[in-house]
Amino acid sequence: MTMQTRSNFTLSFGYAAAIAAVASGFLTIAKEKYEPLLAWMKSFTMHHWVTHGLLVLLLFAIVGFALSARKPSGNLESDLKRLSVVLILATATGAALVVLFYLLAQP
Amino acid sequence: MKEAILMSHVSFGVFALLASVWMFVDTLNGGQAALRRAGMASVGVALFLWLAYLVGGYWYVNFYSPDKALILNGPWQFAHNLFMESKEHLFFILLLLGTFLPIAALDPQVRSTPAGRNLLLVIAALIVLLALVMEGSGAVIGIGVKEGLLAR
Repeated sequence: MTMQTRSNFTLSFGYAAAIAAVASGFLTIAKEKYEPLLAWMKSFTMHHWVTHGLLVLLLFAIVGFALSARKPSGNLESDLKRLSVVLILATATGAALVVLFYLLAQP
Repeated sequence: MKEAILMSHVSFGVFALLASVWMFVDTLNGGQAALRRAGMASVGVALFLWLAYLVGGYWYVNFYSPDKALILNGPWQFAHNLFMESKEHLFFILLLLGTFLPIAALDPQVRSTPAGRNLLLVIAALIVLLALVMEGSGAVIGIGVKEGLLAR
């Protein structure tokens, strides 16, 4: 594996983690709001949470490998800077979706 | 046995948190030996987070139901409705960051650039922050069970 390929791997899986973090937040809301989805997730494995984990990790792996197939472009330094910001925003968004959803659902 | 499973989940979480702090400090140091150690620590973070996930997940799926019933019949229902529900879903973000961390930390180009080292600091800091939220939420859930038992 060349140095450039390796950094391409880093950028790809970094963006994959960001996408999967936000998707996990939306999936949490979707399964709580749409009963058939929750029922399917329960039936797919023994527990909806197990299915949720599998889907998120699968998305991370698929997006990571798919993005790593692209040719690296641009300046690595600015790409890494951008990835730092994207990861902060994605973590905050994914976490806010989950916490605010359950907070607002309180009786 | 189930208490041992639960405590090992908490312990693995604390080890992951400590390894993240170690990684943060060695990345901040920035020397060659420190960055090598940071790479080792990143593998530890991923390993401990995966162990915490697998052990905690096994406990959650198999043993949490009676505790959940106690919480929901007690005065601290938010311990489940808000804290447990949030904790079990926020853990996925932690797991994603923890899995990505060694990919970035073992990349020589990431380690050799200021922006790359900054990226490692950001990931480690996010993991520490989320791990603290996990530990705090676990404490609230534990008290929720106790309050449920006291109310019986």
